[in-house]
Formats: sequence, C-alpha cells, structure tokens
Amino acid sequence: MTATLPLSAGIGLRHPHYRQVLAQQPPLGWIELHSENFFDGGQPLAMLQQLAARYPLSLHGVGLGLGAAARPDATHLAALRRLLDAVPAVAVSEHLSFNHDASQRFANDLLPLPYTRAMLEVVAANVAEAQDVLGRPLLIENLSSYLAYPGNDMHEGEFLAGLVARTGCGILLDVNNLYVNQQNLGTDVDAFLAALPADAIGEIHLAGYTERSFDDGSRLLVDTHSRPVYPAVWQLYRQIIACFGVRPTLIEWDIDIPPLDTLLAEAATAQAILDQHTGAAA
Amino acid sequence: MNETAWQHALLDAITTPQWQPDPRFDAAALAVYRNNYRVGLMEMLALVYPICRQLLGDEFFEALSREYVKATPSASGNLHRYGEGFAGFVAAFEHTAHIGYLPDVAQLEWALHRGYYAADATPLAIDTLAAIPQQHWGALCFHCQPACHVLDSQWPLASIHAHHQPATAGCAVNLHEAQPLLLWRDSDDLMQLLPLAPGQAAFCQALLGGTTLDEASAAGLAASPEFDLQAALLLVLQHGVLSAIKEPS
Repeated sequence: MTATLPLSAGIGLRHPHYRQVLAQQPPLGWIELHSENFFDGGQPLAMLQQLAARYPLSLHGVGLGLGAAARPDATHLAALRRLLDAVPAVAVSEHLSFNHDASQRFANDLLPLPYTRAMLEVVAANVAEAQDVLGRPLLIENLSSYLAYPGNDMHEGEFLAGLVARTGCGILLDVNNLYVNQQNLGTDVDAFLAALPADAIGEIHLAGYTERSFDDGSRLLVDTHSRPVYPAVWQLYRQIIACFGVRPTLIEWDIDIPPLDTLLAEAATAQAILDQHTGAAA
Repeated sequence: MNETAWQHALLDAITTPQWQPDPRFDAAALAVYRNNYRVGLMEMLALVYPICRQLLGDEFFEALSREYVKATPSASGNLHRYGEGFAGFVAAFEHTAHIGYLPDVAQLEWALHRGYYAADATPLAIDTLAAIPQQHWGALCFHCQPACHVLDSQWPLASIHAHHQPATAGCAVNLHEAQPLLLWRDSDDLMQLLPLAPGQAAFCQALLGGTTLDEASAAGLAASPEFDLQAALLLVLQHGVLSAIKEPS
C-alpha cells in the first residue's frame, strides 16, 4: 500500500462544515481537503492544522496538472511542499489530468490527456518531478472525461498502471468517474479495473453526478459532486471492494453542499460495505 | 509531439471567447469544459470582490466578470490567484471608468484577499528592538508581515469598506475624504484596516518596501511636516507590521 489512511470511510471536508466538525468532532475515519485552499498561511492554514490534530488528513490537489505535456508549475509545487511541511498529511493526491501548456496558460479544470506511450513517459517524468519536490509518493486519480484524444493507444487503466511502474506512485480510484466515463465514452470498466495493480490502490472516491441534456438530443453525465452517490455507483463500489479488498473510501460533495449529517450518512453507507468485507479481504 | 498540439488546441477551444465549431472536439463535451472554465473564474471574482459586486449590483457585476474573463486568461493552477488585474480592468472599462473609487475598492479587496491567505509571520517583539541601542535603530531594516499592505488612495476606502460590512452597514461615507490605508492581519488571523495620516502612509510604504528606519522616517516627513516618528513606530509595532530585524547583508 502506498498510503496509510485508515481502512475506513471519510468525507471531503468543505468550507461550510469546518467549524462544525471541529466543534462536534463526529466519528470519522479520516478527512480530505483541497490543498490549494490552504496555500501560504493565515486562518485557513491554522484551521487545517487544528483539523489535522483530530483526524487523519488527506490532501487532495486540483491544480498541478501533472498530465500536461508541459512540466508542472514550480511555484505551485513549492507552495504544496510548504503546506506539507506545515501540516501532517497522511496521503497526498492529484488527478491524472492537465490544466496548462508550456506558456503557463491555465484552465482551472481537470482536462483529459492523450493515453499514448509518448505521453506516458512525459507524465511519468512530471509525477517523478512532483514526488521529488514533495519528498513523498502521490496517489494519482483516474479522471471523469467528456472527450478523448483520437490517437489513444492504451486505456486509462493501462496508463495508470504504467505510471505506477515508472514512478512508484499510488492510485486513487474514483468509482464515480469510472462510471461516468462508462456512460459518456463507453469506457470498458472491466478492462480498466483488470489493468490496475491492486496493491497500488491507496484510496477510493465516491460522489454524485448530474445528467445534462443538449439541444441535439445527446446527454452527458457531468461529474459535479453535487448529489448523493447513485445506486449504480454503489453497486460498482461493492464489486470493487469485493475484488480488491477494503480501501480508505471518501465521500466527495463540492457543489450544493448538504448538511453535515447527510455526508456522514453517505460515509456510514460506505463504512457498512467496508465492514462486510473487513477480514475477508487481502 | 501530436499530443502537445492536441492539448494546446483543447486549451484554445476552452479559453477562446468566440468559440467556433472544431471537428476535433465533441461540441457537447466542449460546452461542459467551456462552461466550467468561465463559471469557475467568475465565481472566484464574486468571492474576491463582494463590495464591488454590491456597488454594481449582481447583474452588472456578472456581466463585468464575463468581460474580464474574456480578456484575462488564468495564469495559475491555483484559482485563488485569479483576479489580480480586476482593478486595472474596471478603471479602463468604458462602462465603469466613470466610477472613480471603484478601482481603488477593487485594489482594497484584492489586498484583503491576498492578505487573508498570506504566509504567517511572528510579530516583532518590542523587547527585541529595545535590546538594540537606540542610536543604531536608524540603520535597521525589517522583514514585514506578508499580509500587510499600504493603499494610498484619494478615496475614503475605510468608510466605503465599513459601509458594506454587516456590523457597520450603511454608515456615512464622505467621498471627499482621502483615506490612505494600512491593512494587516490581527492575532485572530482576520484582516484589519486602519486609515493613516499621509506621513504614516509614506513611512509604512517605505518600511514595507525594505528601506532603513531612517529612510522611512525621511519619507514620512517628506509627505507631511506633522509626521511623528515615535507614534508611527509604535503603530507598526502594535499592529504587528514588523516581524523581524533584517540581518545586515
């Protein structure tokens, strides 16, 4: 295992609930927060340090864009390193996505990358560079994508496996993203999962999507993190836990954030599934 | 590498204000990415500039944000860095150029935003300074609190700010009163602001710029004959503006 998060359910903690969680300290296996919201210092960093004193902490980045053909932004990496020096994080993760080019033009989003042999070498160098600066391995998350590079010569699961082999990084397996890709792009879920080195999967994400329809009659599932986890995603999660064994599992909710109790109930559902497999798993 | 060109083209297709159908990218997919890009940046502007938004109204602010996003690509993977040029943009934008104080309010809000996230620094203890013989003080330079900022404005920024805070909403604003401001972060990590006399503003500006205490004092006196060094030094120490004495290089 790459990470040492507890083998239990946690929640993605967002601004509306920081103070409530600190005050009530609900029983949660662990929490995950977005790294970029705590860069530098001040009240956000002080709050994060208080939270890290009470819960195992995972820091989840959205801004490095390690899947770019261009190198990662050195100032961003340095800021992340300072954050890791200031806060005891158990796990640090980023996405298999890109957000910039060599002229430092950014789209603050998680954009899909070509899954080719040439790109794999570039991204492996980016991940290795980031891990060198940060002084620790990263968990890299599979992406929800709405389009694909036309010249792909492997699928995302093979690409992730290649990254693990080249850099020693771990995998953050987002089950909702996988489901969304299956629905939008026809991703072969079984082939994706079969390609993953099970030992490298250090964390699982669960979230809800939104369905959008377009004038031309097409529809897309958009990975909005704005809804409860859908039944089909729970079903896929059960299969994955049955196959790979229990993993630290996170409920993510970033838009239209509900009361804390709703998040805790979602986490309890994930915990119940983990409990069914605890002891039975490798 | 073709992959590089494809990523470049996708960034173009997402960020360009006037989108043209592009056979390389599915239209529905691109619509999602283009919407994410714009909404993310516009929401960031609304978060950073709440007073500008109140001054202009939600609808106008949204239209203005849309224009700013068209004109200003994001230059960082950290969304919190977006919007630095907003003050300059509203000063030059034809539909806001007549609102004289708006650019300065935007500058104030950007400084409050950056200050809130700025790196931590321990305030310089008065005892540390007192331990140095006073005749050497003039040659000292200081590291300052990264959250600190001086805004030299001809507008009553402190009053305008207070006017838009819940606790002091609607308080009087005299638009003919210039209020240079000191911004700093207090011991609870909250941003505070204080109107300064012109000499104090020049003094603080100089110290933040890295001058010696003597040079800062001269800047203060040049700005106002009423400048009082002792009072000004006490003010910066009380508010934690100074964080450490620089070692002579």
